[in-house]
Amino acid sequence: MYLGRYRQGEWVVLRGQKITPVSGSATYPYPQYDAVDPNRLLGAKTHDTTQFTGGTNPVVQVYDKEFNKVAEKEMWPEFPVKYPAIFKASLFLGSDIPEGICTSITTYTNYNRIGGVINSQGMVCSFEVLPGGHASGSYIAMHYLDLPHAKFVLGQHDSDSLDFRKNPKV
Amino acid sequence: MLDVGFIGHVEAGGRIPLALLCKGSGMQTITPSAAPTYKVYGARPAASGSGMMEMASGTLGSSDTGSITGFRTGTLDIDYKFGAGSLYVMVFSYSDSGGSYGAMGSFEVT
Repeated sequence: MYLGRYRQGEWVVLRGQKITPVSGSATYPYPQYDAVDPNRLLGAKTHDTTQFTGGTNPVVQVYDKEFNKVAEKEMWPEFPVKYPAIFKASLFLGSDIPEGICTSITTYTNYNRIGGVINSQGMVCSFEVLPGGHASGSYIAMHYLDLPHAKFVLGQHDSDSLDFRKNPKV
Repeated sequence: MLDVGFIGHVEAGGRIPLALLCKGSGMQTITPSAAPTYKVYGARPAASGSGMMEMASGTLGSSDTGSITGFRTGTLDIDYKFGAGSLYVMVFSYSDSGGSYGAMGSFEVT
């Protein structure tokens, strides 16, 4: 699934849905994300697999265009009560995520009630990091300070880093 | 057939990363018996008829990337054959003892 184009300093939301195959010809309805707009949750569709809840959370790994691993995160349920099989993780595109096409792979293992492995599943997505942007993100707050010896600006980024600027008076 | 989906945009002369998570029946990840292969198709130039023509072919890695079962990767050089502003379709093929499988993806050359 293609997740879109981003600039450094933005957040990309990575999602995964735990499923497991079912025997027989029955089909099972459950919602899924739109392939065109990955942030839009569609209504229940019919599949030959069914949602799987319980066990461990999916883990998402992100690779750059040369397939060097640049991030790894555990996903958490996005709607724990209503859709417990849908997970997400937010990834900040800082200086550690290079420009170009990135590939994310979400993997998880389904276990039965006594801990035995049922099967392993996964999903691959891609997104693009475009040139430009600011690796520290956007300003969410700024404070201006005018002292006798200098003027100061203290900014806070949405990556939770601080930016300190000083303009000395001569 | 699996849907790899749209991979991304790549400039002419660049390289595009290719990634495939090999799945068998029931969408379970599998270890393919050989390195997955792919073929890239693009629109045939108007002067030479209609339909699609094969632009490139190759293989993905013969071992798993990141120790993830069935996660095979590779790169494709976008050389002079690929026209800017065009969409290309690629078909992946792989197999294991349970059968043969395929997947489709696409990318755009800018």
